[in-house]
Amino acid sequence: MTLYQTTMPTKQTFLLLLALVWLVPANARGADEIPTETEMIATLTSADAPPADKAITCKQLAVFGSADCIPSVAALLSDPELNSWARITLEAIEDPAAEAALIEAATTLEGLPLVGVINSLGVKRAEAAVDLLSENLGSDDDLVAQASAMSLGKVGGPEATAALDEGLKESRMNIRSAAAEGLIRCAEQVPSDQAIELYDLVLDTELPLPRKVEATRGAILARGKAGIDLLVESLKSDNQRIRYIALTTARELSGDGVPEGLLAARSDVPSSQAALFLVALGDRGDASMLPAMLETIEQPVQSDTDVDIKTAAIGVVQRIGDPSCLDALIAAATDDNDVIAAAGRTALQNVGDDEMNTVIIERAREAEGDALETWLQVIGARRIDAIELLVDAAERDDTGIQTAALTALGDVATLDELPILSKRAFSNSEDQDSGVHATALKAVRAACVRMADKAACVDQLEAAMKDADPASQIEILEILAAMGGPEALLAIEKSALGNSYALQNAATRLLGGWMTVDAANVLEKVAAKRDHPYRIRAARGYLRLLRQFPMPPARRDSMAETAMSLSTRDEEKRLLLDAAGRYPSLKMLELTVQIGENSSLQNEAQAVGMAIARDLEPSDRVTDLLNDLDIQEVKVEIVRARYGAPGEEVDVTERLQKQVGNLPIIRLANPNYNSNFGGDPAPGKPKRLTIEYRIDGKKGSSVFEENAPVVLEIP
Amino acid sequence: MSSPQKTHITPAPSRRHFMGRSIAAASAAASTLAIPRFVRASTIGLGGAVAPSDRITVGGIGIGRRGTYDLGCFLEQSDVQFIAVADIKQTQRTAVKERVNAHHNNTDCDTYRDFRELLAREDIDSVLIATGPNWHATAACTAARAGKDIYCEKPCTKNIAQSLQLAETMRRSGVVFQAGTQRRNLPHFEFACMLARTGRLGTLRTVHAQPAGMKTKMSGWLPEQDLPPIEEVDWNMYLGPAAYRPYNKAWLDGFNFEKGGGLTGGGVLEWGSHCVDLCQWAAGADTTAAAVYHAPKDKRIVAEYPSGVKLVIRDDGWLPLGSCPVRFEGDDGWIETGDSGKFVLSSPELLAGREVAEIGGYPATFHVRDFLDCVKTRSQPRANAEAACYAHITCHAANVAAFLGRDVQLDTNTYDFIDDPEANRLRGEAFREPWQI
Repeated sequence: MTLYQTTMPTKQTFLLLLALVWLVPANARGADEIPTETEMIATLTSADAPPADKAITCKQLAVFGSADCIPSVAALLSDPELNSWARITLEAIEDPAAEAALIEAATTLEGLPLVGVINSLGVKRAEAAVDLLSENLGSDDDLVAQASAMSLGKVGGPEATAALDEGLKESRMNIRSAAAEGLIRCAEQVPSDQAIELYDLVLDTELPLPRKVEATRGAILARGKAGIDLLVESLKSDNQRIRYIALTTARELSGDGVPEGLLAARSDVPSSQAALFLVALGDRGDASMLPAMLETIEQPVQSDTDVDIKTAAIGVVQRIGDPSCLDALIAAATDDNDVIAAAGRTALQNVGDDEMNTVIIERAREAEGDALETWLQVIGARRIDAIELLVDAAERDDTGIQTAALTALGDVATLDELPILSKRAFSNSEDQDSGVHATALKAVRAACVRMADKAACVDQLEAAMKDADPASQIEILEILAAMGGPEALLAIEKSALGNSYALQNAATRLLGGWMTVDAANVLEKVAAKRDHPYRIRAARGYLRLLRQFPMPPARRDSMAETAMSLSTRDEEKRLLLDAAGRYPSLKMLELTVQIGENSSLQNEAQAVGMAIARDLEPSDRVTDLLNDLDIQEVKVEIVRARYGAPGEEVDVTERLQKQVGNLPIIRLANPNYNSNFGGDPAPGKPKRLTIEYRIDGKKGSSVFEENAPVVLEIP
Repeated sequence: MSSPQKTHITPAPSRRHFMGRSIAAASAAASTLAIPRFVRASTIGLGGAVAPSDRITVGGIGIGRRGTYDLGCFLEQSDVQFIAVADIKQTQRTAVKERVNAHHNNTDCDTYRDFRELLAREDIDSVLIATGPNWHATAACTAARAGKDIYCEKPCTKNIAQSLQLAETMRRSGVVFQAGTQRRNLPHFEFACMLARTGRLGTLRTVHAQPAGMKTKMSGWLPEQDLPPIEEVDWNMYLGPAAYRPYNKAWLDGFNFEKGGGLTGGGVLEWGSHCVDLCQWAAGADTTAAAVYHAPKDKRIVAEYPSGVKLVIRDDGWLPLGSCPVRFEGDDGWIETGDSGKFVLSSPELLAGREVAEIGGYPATFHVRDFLDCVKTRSQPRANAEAACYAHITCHAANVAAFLGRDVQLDTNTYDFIDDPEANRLRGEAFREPWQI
C-alpha cells in the first residue's frame, strides 16, 4: 500500500486515506507506505489540494516531518480552517525554526489564528516570544490578551513575571484573572521567597475567587511552617472555597516543624472546622501526632461537634496508632454513643501491625461483657491466632460472646477446631439459638475455604455429611463448592452420581458453576447417564466450560467432540455451534457440518461454518466441508437495528449496515456489543440487539442477547 | 450569558441517615484496602449543625448516553441538588432538564449550550463531565480553573501531555477530581488489588489488563454536510479543542471522536483507563506509569514498571468473569476478576475468611458517593487526578508503542520518551484555538 504515490489525493480519497493511515496496525506499516516529506510538502503548497488533504498531511508531518516542512506548514497558520492542524505539526517539531515561524506568524495574524499561535508559543515555552506576548497582553482583543497571559506564565522568568505583574493593573477583570493565573505559574518555577511575593501580590489584587484560592494555596505552601498562620486564618474565612483550600494545604504542607506547628494550631482552628482539620492531619499519616490524638479521644463529649472531633481523631489513630492507643480505642468501641462505638471498633480492626496482636490477646483475656465481645470481633477481623481463647469463649453462656467467638473461629480455626464449628453448624438441636447456628454455618464455610490441607478438610466434611440431615447435607455441598479443588470436586461427584434426588440437584447445580475445567469429567459422567434427571443440566455445564474457559486447542477440540455426543437437543447443539464459532478449527468445522445436517439448525450452522472457514487456512478439506454445508450467498439488508435495555435503546442501524456482508451472519468489528456500537447505552442492565432486515428481499427480524453472535434467521 | 444566580436549597438528608451511611461505608472499606476516615454530616456544615447548604449543587456538562447513567447515580444521592446542564445538543439539554426537574419536583434546572456559562455560576459546587473524550481534559481543567469539583468520565485525557497537565491543574486549583473509573469503588476489584498490594500473593510479578481490541480509532475530515441550526447542535463547541473540520453528522457520536487525539484511542485507552488503572493500583503504581513498553506481539503489549512488575495487555485467555477483567500474579498466588462481581483465586486460602460483596454490572453509585464524600472532607478520592494521570499515561505510552510498532521507554521523572524524538512527537497535540489547558 502506498499513499500519495503518484498523484495528489482528492477529497474523495480522503476517507480511505484516514482509514489507511490510522487504522493499519503499525507493525504492518512499512516505511514505504508513508509519503515522502517532499510529497507531503507538495500537498501543502498545492493550490489544488483540498483543505482535508492538507489537514491530514499536517498530522502526518507532526510525526514524520523535519525542519524542512516548517515554512510550508507555517504558511497555513493564516487559514482559520487549517491553523490548528498546522500547529499540531509546529508544536511537535522541536526545532528552533518552528518557534521562529510561530513568532513570525504572530506579528501578522489577528483574532483566533493569533490566539492559537500564542497558545503554541506557551506550549513551547518560547523565551524569545516574551516581548511579543507582553505586547499582546495589552491587546484590545480579550482572547488574545488572555492567551498571552497564560503563555507568559508557561514561559516564566523575570521578564514574563514583570509583564504579568503589569497585567494585574488591567481594568478588565478577565485579563487580570489571566495575568494572575500566569503569575501563579511563574511562582511555581521560582524559589520560595520569590514565590511568596508573587502569591501575595495576587492575594492583594481584586480578582475572581478561583485565583484567590490558588494564590492562598501557593502562599501557604511556599512559606512552609510559617504558612500555618495563613492556613488557620483561611479556615476562619466566611468563604467555603477558602476554607476548603486551607484543608487541602493542611495535607500538602511540608517542611521542618510543620507537624508540630499544625498540632499547635488546633486550638486556633474554629470549632466548625476542627473535625475536618483532624481528618486532614490524619491523611498526612504522621506518627508523631499520636499522643495529641489520644488526648483528644479521651476528652468527654458534650456536643455533636465533640462527637465529630472525637471520631475524626479515632480515624487518625487508626492510621498511626501503636499499642499505647488500645485503651482509648476499646473505650471508644464500647461507648454508649453508636457513632463513636462504630468508629472505635473499625479502628481496632485496622490499627497497627502484627505486633499489636499480642497485646490485643492479653487485653481480651482480661476482659468481660461488652469489652470481651468487642475484642473477640477484633481478633476475628484481624485473623489473630487466639484459638484457645476463642474456643473457651464459644462455650460461654452468652449469645453475644458465643456469636463473636464462632465468627472469629471461622476466621482463624485450624483443622483441629473444625469439629467444634461443624457440630454447631450441622446440628439440628432445637436447643441451639438460631442466630448462633447461622453464625456457625457461616464460620465453618469461612474456615473450610482457607484450609491448607484440603484433603483432610474434605474428609471431615464427608464424615459430617453422613450424620447430617438433608438440609445440612446440602449446606456441606455448598461449602465443598466454595472450597473448590480436586478433593472437593470428587466429593461432589459422589452426590451428583448418588441416589438422592435432592443431592443430585444440588451437586449438578454447583458443578454447573464450577470455575475450573477439571469439572468436565464429572459433568460428562452425569450427562452420559441416560436416566439421570439432571443430565441436560450437566451437558450444559460441560458446554459452559467448553465455551468460556481457556484451554489448549487440542483439549477444546476433544471436548467439543464429546459435547457433540452429549448434546441431544437443538438448544445444546446451538451452544456447541457458539463454541465452534468462538474457537475456529478444522474439528469445529467438522462438528458444525454434523450439526448442519439437522434442518432446524442448518442456517446457523452455515453461518458459523463460513465464519470458521474465514479463519482457517484454505484447503481441500475445508472446501469439502463447506460444500457439505450447502452454503449459498444471500443479499442482506439491515432495515433497522436498535441496541440497549428497554427504554434505553440507541439506534445502531448505520453502524450495523457498514458491517453486513453477503451471509446471514454479521461478523462485528468488535464482538463486544458495547465497544462495537459506541458505548454502553444502559450500564448494569441486560441489553439486547434487535434487528429488522431483509434477506433476498424477504422481511425478517431477530433479537440477540448482549455479545451473542449475530446470526440472522432466514425468513 | 443567562446565568441566574439562584440558590437551590432543599431540606438536607436526615442526620441519622447520613451518619449511618458514613459509618457503614467506613466499615466496609476498612475490611480491605482503604483506611477509612470518620466524618459525619455535621462535620461538614458550620457550627456543628447540618445546614441546608450541605447539599452539593451539581451541574452536568455533556450529558449523553453515559452521562445519563452517571446523572442517575448522582440523583440517587440525597445530598445532591442538580441544578444545570450544558450540552451542545438541544435534545440532550431538554432531556436532562426534564428528568432532573421531575426528580427534584421543581423547574429549576437551567440549560446552557456553552458550558462556560454554567461554570460561571457561583452557586454550582461540582460538575459532572460526561462529554466525549475529546473534551474531557479541556473541560475538566476549565472547570478546575473556575473552582469546581469534578467528576469526569474516562478516558480523561487524549495524550501524555494532557495527563500531566490535568494532574497539575487539579493540584494548583485545589479542587477534588474523580475520574469515572468506578471499578476502584467496587468490592471485588478492591479486594483483588488489596491482595496484590499487601503481599498476600507473594512478590507481585505480573498484572494483566484487557484492552477489548487494540485497533486505533480514526481522526480526520469527512465530507461537509449542511450545518444544523446552532441551537440544535453547536458544532463549534462540539469540536472544541479538536482540530477544525466541517460538520458531518457521523462525527457526532462523541464516544470515539478524537479519542486519544484520534491516533491512539483504541481499546488500550478505552478499556485500559479501567483495567490498566486497576493494574496500576494493584502494583502500587498510582504515582508512576510503566517505564518500558514492548511492541505488540502475539496480540499482546507487555510493559514494565520501575518496580519490575510486568503489565500484560491482552484480549485472550480470560476466565469467564465478565467484561473488564484483570488478573494479578505473585510468587504465591493469583487472583482474576471482572465485571460479574465474581473472582477466582489460586487458592481459597487467599480469601482468609473474608466475605467480599458480589456486585456485578459495574455500578458507579459507590464511586459517586466517594467523590461526594471527598468534596465535603477535601480528601483525595480513589480515582484522583494523580492516579488517573499515571494510569492514562501508561495507556497512551502503550498505544505509542503499538502505533510505532516498536519498543519505547519513558523517563518516569519527566514522562518524555528516552532518546526517542519520534515517540515524543506523539506525546501531546496542539489544541484548536482558543482552547488550552
